[in-house]
Amino acid sequence: MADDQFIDAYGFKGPLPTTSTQRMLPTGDFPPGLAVGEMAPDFELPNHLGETVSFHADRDGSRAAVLFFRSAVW
Amino acid sequence: MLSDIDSEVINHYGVLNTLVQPDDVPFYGVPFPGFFLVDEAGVIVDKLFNRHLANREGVEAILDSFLGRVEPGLGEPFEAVTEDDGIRITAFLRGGGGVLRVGPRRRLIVRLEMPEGLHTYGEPVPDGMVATRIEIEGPDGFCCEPIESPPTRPLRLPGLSAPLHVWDGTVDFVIPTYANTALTRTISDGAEPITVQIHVRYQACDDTQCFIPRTRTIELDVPVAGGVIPRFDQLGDYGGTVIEMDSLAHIKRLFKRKADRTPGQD
Repeated sequence: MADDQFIDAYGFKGPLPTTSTQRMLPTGDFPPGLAVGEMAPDFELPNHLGETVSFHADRDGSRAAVLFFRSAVW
Repeated sequence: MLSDIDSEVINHYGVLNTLVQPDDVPFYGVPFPGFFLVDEAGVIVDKLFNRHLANREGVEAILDSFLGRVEPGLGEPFEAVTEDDGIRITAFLRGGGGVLRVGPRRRLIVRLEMPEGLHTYGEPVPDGMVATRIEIEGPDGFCCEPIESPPTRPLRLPGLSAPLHVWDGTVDFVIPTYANTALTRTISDGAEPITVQIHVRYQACDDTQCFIPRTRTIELDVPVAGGVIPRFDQLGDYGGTVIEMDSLAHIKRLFKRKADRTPGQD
């Protein structure tokens, strides 16, 4: 951790320097992840109602969009 | 809405944000924001990701990817001109009903439709030729990211050692745009739209001759809505708008949940 950071009462690192990885953009190959044309791996995850969702079984032959985001509150 | 607490699916799909360090609890494990499109058989047919963890695509970007084309939505700002060389230039703002606001990005599309036999040039061009260039002008706070140009195709002509890089048919130049608070703080909802000027410079040629390079300017009237970000300069003033932005309780839950699942780290 850099000298100009601190950890606050909730365990978060304090003000981030401009060199912080959270403030940087990835360079090089982008976008990341599986290539177009590959099979989308199946997965099972809980939804907001606590039910388990099985990707390929529950989309039931329909096309689907898989969105990734880091927070649903904003 | 699904929860991938252990980032298993994020890792399987290879979209873990590698810039966030493993000791950065609770943020380690977040994905790059974006989406995959999957066809009926489960094969990935398209994907779009953002480099910054706070950037999101609008729903229109997903729909456009599904359809494989971009068309202006109902009421979205749109202008088109047809030149006497037969080239039609269209500019429109895609997404969110064409209303610009702080936060979500919109796409400014500049479309060139070239009649059969005509082409225009991409970089690099030989001396004496002019590559297609698009410049956007707007008021302070109207922000544009670098233009995403479609790939050119090589055109070999007798007498030229190197191939030319050309576009023909219909090509879309995409400019991601957004408003920052410098724009929205001077504007209230329902106010006059801003004017965005799009300068398109190009030289059209067929296989035997070239036209004189020309510049065409298209003006788009773009409505701007007030920001969703609180106006900090007004907070505390009587009548100022205060939006509930306190996500501390949520962050605390997130942190606790993550810490509970990471043995040996209290």
